[in-house]
Amino acid sequence: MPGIIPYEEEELLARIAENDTAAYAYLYDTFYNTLVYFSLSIIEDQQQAEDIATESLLKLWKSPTRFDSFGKLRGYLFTLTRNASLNYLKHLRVRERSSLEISGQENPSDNYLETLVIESDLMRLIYQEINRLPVSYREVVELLYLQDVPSAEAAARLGISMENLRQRKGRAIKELKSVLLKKGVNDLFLSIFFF
Amino acid sequence: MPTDDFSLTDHAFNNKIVNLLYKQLVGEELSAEEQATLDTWINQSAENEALYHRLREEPSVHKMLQTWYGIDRNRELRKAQFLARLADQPKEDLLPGRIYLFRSKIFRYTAAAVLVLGLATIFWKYERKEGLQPGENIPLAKTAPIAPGKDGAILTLADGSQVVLDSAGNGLVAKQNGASIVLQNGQLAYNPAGSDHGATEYNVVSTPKGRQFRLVLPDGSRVWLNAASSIRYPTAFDNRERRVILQGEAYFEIAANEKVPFKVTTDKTTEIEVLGTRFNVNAYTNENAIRTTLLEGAVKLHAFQQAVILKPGQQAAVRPAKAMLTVTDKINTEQVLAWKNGLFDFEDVSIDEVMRQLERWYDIEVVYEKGIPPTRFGGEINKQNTLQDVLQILEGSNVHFQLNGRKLIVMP
Repeated sequence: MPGIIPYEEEELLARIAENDTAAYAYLYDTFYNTLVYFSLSIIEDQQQAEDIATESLLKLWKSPTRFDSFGKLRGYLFTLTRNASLNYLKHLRVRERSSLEISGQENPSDNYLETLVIESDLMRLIYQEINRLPVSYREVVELLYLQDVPSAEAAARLGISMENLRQRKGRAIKELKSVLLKKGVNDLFLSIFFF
Repeated sequence: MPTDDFSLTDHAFNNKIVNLLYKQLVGEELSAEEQATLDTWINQSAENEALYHRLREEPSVHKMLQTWYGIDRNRELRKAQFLARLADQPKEDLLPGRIYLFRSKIFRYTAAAVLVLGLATIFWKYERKEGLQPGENIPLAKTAPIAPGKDGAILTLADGSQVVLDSAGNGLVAKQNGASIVLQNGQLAYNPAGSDHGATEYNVVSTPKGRQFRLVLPDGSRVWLNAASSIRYPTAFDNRERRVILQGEAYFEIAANEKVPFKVTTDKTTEIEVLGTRFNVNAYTNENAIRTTLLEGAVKLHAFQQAVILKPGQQAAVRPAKAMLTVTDKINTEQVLAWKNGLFDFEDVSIDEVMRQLERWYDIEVVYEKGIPPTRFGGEINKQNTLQDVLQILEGSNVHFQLNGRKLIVMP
């Protein structure tokens, strides 16, 4: 799992097996978004996907296991989430068949699911760049880019003038650029932020 | 139900692919070997290839990020529910005594305090070691990075006991006079007790250097506390006035209540009376003035037997040394509030003021060599940068720096 791991691997695995609340809070922070993204891509229902990811983490709490490695732990959580998501799809189809006599959706292929694991992890890395922005810039990026709120409404919600909003947007882009320039920056990636 | 298992997939390989895709997305150069690894993955399946192509198109990446953001918005709420369910479902075969220990607040906060003490010891040892090699000139870039500050504070209860607050733990912190104190997403809030009225009790929230903190007072007023600051307030306000005592810097959003005025006392010189409003008070004793800046509403300021009423955009400066009260119009309020919004705003700020801000946020000590030219700075810097990154930006001006442990030397 990309990201910073404040626990030593061995310690984390031991604490999970011991039902240590703090370790589970950490586990949640590390995996929740990724698992929801993964499930949501399969079942296309956000609320259900949130439930499924939460249940997967709770399942581990109820029958804690001592894993050999972080990779095994991660695989276990993805497997739980995948199985629950596919079960949910099956359940949906059964209901549809009884009422409508059709079954449009097919089970996603194993290849697709494996690619999806990669995509889910990757999103976490990309989103970190936005999260590192100072609050006042991040607000602008969230409203204009992530929520597609029209400029006038965004300015009203933040309680600032249109001019001010333009300024902050410009600064947010500048800040992202300077962070990313250290890495080399691809025009394509930057164009994402010229919203 | 599928029988294969993700635990069998190669975790290390997946990790490598994720990092390679990310590198390519942000435009980092891939080595020939890395490119070959990525190509192998792309050729493994049509699905892999499809993802690779989607990552090269802005609209699809935009959509993916929006999906992630939609998930992230519900995260904190879902996390609180998750943690609450953990507490409700302890594993059956755990010993009862043990469950009690883990769920006990005292245990958790003692653990937090022990951790803080442990870190303090590490720093102390580290500094002593540094001290054994005096006079060595280590270039800035080679020094161990000094991390920025973060959310956190210490709550002192009426009986003098202290609780370490950090963003990691959510839940009930303590009960005071019937009111429950709850920590939620790094913010402290009071749930009033109802009719349970005893003698007035006071709580204090204080931040050391390198920490800032948000809290909601018992009347619903919101307070952002900057580093090296403290605020004292009763656990329940009476119905004549709402009075708090501030040291350091805080931004207030006061819950409107015309019948019960809200009063902020800084030191003996200054008292701020408000009705319902947003304002910032900077009362650090090592600044030359106590500055109150009004953003919205109205406040009345008492100092040296004078009183002024501030309008939005105005700033009052009380200079204790000169027993003087002045009011300035058209203040750059964004600059005043930069600290709260995650920024340093050094526009037209003198070097010693810049250094005092860095001292508070990075928990360092600053000393000056002789002959520093009078310098004023410009621009904004993200407060999440390491100290070294900030210094590097500032070195563009006429000053230079040397770092010795947590002691920063400013040189011409």
